Amino acid sequence: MGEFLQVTSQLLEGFSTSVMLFILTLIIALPLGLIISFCTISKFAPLRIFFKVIVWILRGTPLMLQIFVIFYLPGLLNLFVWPTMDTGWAWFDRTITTRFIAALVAFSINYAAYFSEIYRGGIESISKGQFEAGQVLGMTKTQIFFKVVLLQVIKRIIPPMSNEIITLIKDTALANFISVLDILYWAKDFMLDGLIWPLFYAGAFYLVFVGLLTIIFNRVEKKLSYFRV
Amino acid sequence: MKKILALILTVVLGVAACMGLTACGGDSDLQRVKDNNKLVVGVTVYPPMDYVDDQGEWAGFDAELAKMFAEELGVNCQIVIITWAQKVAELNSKQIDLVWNGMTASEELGAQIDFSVSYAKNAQVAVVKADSAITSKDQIKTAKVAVEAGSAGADVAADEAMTTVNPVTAQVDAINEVKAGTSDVAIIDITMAQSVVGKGEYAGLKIVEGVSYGDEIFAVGLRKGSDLKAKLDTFLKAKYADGTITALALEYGVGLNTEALAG
Amino acid sequence: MAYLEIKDFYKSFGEVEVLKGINLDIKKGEVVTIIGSSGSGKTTLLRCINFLETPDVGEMILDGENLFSSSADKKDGEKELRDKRLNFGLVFQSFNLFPQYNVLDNITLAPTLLIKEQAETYKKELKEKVELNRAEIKKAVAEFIQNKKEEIAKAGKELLEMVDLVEKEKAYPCELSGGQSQRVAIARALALKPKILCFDEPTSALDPELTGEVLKVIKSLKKKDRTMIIVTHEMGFAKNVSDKVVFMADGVVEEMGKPKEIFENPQSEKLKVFLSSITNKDGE
Repeated sequence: MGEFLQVTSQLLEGFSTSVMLFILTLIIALPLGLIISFCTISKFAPLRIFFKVIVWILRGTPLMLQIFVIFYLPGLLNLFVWPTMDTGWAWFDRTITTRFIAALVAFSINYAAYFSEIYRGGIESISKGQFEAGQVLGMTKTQIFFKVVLLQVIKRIIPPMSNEIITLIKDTALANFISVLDILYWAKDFMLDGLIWPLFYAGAFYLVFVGLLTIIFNRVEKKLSYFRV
Repeated sequence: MKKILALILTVVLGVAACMGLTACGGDSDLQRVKDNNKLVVGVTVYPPMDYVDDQGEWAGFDAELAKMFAEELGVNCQIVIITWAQKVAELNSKQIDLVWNGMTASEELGAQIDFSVSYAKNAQVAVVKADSAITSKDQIKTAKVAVEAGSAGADVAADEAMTTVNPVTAQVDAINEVKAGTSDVAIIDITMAQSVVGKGEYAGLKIVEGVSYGDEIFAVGLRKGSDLKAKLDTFLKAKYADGTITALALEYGVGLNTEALAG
Repeated sequence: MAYLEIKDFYKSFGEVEVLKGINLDIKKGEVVTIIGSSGSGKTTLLRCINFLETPDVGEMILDGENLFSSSADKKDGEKELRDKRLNFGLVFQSFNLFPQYNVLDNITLAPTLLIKEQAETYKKELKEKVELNRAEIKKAVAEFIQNKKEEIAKAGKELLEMVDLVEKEKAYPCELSGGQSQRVAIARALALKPKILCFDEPTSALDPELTGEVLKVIKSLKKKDRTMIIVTHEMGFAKNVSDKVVFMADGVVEEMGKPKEIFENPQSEKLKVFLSSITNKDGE
């Protein structure tokens, strides 16, 4: 029983790091993706092409490689060194370390690229008539986007978005490549002591979390079912 | 849209400039460590060398030495967990200053990074009854051998093609086999053997003289050409000379590389 | 005296020249229908009038004010364009209601969004004209906004009454029939009090039994002397409701006149062919 409690508390600590990475990545990548999607549908060709290439690179290379590049490459090329922190910040102490922040940067950029493509698809799927109806009613471009188009886009993109977001919580495990001590790091650590069951136990954490996410997405979908696009 | 592009460029350049300011100046590691006022040591959780004790503090043979070294330099010691496969990238990207983690100083690794003077060693030795007639590797090959399953000792048994091998669940079980007479020889870590064989419960056992397998020496890893090496070597030798390292070795059960430390 | 003057509109999409010099005068209170086979440029003309497309060449004058001139030095900014658009209302073939808003909100959304700008202007006026302290101005502006909101809500309900959809006030577009949707779209366009209301084939997307209710609404607007431009395929309706019928073919106004002249005494060959093809279809 003592062992079970010890494993539980260690995995919980690791999972709080995973969830923190998950939440902060979403907070940054969701709006960043929208900005990138505007750039990739821009009429200004250099901007559009630049961001299309960026998105291509981010979607076309392994996330693990991107994490490596962001964390190690600046130091290897003598550009700058990610400032090492003695400990993390305040009560996050063991969570928000330099490594965590480097991983957060990599995840945010990578996921923003994926999100931008989902947004782009969503925006382009809205009929031209919606934009024109807004125009002839004297709305500004911003008003058309936020008051008319956005909610329709959100409704359209919830299924692909929920897929991507569920993938994200599982992808956070890639952060232990640069020694962010997430739940799978500790599960693997227990394996070194010969304990295999914590790995499956860690799987249960993910499973429960994804279950919660699924419920939330279903709720949102239901909330938006009052209209059709 | 041009405005947005200009804005993005400005931000990118700005960030690059800010980060440039924190970039390290010269090539001196010693200066860098002093400027940052901390020595960053990369480890994995690997008892008895590095582990977190019940108080949540770093403990272990290597961790304690690392703290002492930082103290001698007059800077803080920061021990960070790294992924073992990335130790060279961690060093070269200056994320850490030292790898101090019971690291085997192999030739391959030596091509990438520098090593301090070797401070400890490990090898597999043969433990037999004090009155045993076994004195050579050839005799061991055909004897009844006990090893811990999955250990370096088990690897030795396989490499040497020993004929009769009893895999047991712990090194101590292997010695117990010899003590009980169910096996003739136990192949175990020299560290373990030195700390128990010939004493107390195991007084009736001995280590076969002149027989050892797979010698490994442990050293601290540094960036190639680091000027910390001279400081670190002097520190290790001095701490051996004043008995500190020997005391730690006894506490944690580590086999010292006495020849290197004394030299 | 012409209310709306369209002079020499030319418009090409790439290689294809869609408008080849359109001239059209419309009097105040007049109902003009534009007929012609598909590809004749009628929809493009309507979109140019509503600033959804920009003519390559041409001029447009409304009530003495020059709204568009291809020879102008400076292109209109977004704000000017929006102000000019508000002179016109446009009812689309496919309704283009906003699906996430209920019927009343569809009608009141655009006027409500305009309040903010109006309030800013009002605030500026207050500051210039009267000696009021900040709190008083704030209060006056708040009152102004409140009044506007009430006004808009009241006007919205009146419009619903006019298109006979009071009971659908809280319904969402997906719950409406095509005819009901188009009536909401008409009310929505009217909510901004346009000087000229344009219809782009308002009944083409409707089942035949539903066109009547929409046409009825348009007729009731004629009684109120609304200036309207209607692109339509409903010849019977065009004959019935128009003061003037414009026949377009291959990007030019081929023939124009009173409904009686156009339908009973067509002059050009193209119009004759067009009308006979329509009659044949009706006969089937």
